[in-house]
Amino acid sequence: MNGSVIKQKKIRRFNLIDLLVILLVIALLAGGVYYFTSSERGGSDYIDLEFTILVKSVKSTHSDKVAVGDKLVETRELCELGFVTSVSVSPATLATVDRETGRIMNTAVPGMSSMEVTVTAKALKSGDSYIVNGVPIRVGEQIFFRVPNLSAVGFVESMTATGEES
Amino acid sequence: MNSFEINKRKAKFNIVDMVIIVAVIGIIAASFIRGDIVRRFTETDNATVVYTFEARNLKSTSALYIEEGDKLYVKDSGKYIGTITGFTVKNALTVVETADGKLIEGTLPDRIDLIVTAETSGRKTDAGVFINGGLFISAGKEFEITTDKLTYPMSIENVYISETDTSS
Repeated sequence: MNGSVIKQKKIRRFNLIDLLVILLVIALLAGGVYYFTSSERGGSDYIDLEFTILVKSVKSTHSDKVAVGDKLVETRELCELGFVTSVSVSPATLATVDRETGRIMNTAVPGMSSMEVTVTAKALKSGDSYIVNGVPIRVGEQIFFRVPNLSAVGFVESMTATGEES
Repeated sequence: MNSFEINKRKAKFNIVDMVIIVAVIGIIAASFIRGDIVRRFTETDNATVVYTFEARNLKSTSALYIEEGDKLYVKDSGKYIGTITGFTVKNALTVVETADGKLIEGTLPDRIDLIVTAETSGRKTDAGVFINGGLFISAGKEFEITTDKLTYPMSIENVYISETDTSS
């Protein structure tokens, strides 16, 4: 009687499935690196963008709650859009009609103010568009935003590319 | 003849395993850095947040259904956002246009504005004030809120921090 022990050793070979898994993991890593670093790191496609958000009507008691240096966050995507560099406050107005003369005029609304909030950010230039942290910045674009002491909604009123990053 | 076959499969650590481990570690580390998760785990609600809000143009009978001690919840999410500590009832204000095109404030008949004070636990950070585990709150923020007896839209007027005794 022969007790021979045969060990079968299964040799693992590198196959197509392994290759696909490696490629998938590398793609995920690359995508993750791009996503996590794209807002902090500039590159040849990033420029300095200055844009102004017009908040047409906000309570006058709130008009001092945006400060230069505040970080401005877009509240739908919860992404940072940049830092406030200036704030301008004026009375909110509404178009009204003098019924006697028919004259149309802009009349100050009691208790309400209009704010222009200027923000500076690093933007990615995509064709003729500017993208800040995934949010397209276009004149007329509605922006729901917050700063540490205020939540508001406004429209992009103007924008200027202030420099090219080398 | 007896043959005893042992199928022995030895798991060997290979390059695929290495790549997966590195990727998982990288993603976890990046999430902590980017998502500021460390700060979120270490920050606690260590203060009492007091805020006032305004509910405008409610039917005057709504005042019968509000009282101190009412708990406030966000209607959509059911999230608790505070307890009423006081309130004031005023005639509802509105802006009307006169015949000569001027805008003046007036009061609406049979309508009220509520000015309510509420408090809850929260914390103040560089990004602003967060209440009850991470809900951002600031002047201008609007909620549709509900209590046991009443539901209405409101807008935050003011937020401030009152430090609790636990924050030594």
